[in-house]
Amino acid sequence: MKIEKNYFYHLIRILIGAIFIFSGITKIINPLKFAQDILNYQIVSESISFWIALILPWLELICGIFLITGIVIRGSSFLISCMLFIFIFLIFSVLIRGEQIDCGCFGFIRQKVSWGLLMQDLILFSLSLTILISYIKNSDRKK
Amino acid sequence: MRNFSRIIKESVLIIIIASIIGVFINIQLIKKYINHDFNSEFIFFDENLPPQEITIYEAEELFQKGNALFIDARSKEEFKKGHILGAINIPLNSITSSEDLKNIKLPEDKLLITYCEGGDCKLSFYLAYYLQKAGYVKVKVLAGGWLKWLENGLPWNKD
Repeated sequence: MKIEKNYFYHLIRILIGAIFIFSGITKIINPLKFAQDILNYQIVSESISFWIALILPWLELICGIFLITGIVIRGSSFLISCMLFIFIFLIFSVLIRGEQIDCGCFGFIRQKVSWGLLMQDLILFSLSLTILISYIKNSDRKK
Repeated sequence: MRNFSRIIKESVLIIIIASIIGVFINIQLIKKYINHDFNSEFIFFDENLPPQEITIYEAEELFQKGNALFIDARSKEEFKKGHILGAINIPLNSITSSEDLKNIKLPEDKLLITYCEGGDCKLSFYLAYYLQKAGYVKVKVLAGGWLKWLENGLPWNKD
């Protein structure tokens, strides 16, 4: 089926785009809170958390906008997949250590790190990969 | 191969755009960070609310009289390995605002003394700050923390 007529593809593209736009905005509102959330994972140093907190929310927002508008789908879906892959790794490391921290996924909306959250990110990761692969296959077909 | 190079090009482009916007929008915050205006892990301490320290000797006296509640700000694992006798554990990594402390009832008649590992550890300061924000007035930080307590041969136990 051509990608243009594949409604499932468009649905997940818009859904993931919207989730990332929302996630980005909630973090942009309070970057210091997000920096603290990153620090709570005890993976990176204070300065790295600070710089990530300034840039990552914008990366999420821009990727989300690009994915929905369909402007730079390859790059945005690839970056979203990379981000989700890192999030999955971080969540998993926290769960293994048995710690209970705020995931920092949606800024002011409190959500603890849990196996459910890991599952949610795994689903989003597989969907974002589906978008990337479908788009690449479609562009190869056009050639 | 062509797709791969386009993915990389597009990704780099998005990262550059996000970095420029992120830095530009947060320029004031970056200036503060460079000037070390953050007293702690990204918490701005109110000028009226700097958590005060308490010496090990004062803490010992309060401990003997039973007039203080010691609060360990370290992780659960560290707490289990050893903590001040009678202390409770509120791991700082489980708290991101004073709202999180609302469900925990702490005695208001006792002095709340927070502590962490010792040396340069700051966890106890942040916890004290959150406790003050949550409305607790009598809050202090144990200078030297857990290591100082052990060094002075004061009572402790394991969980």
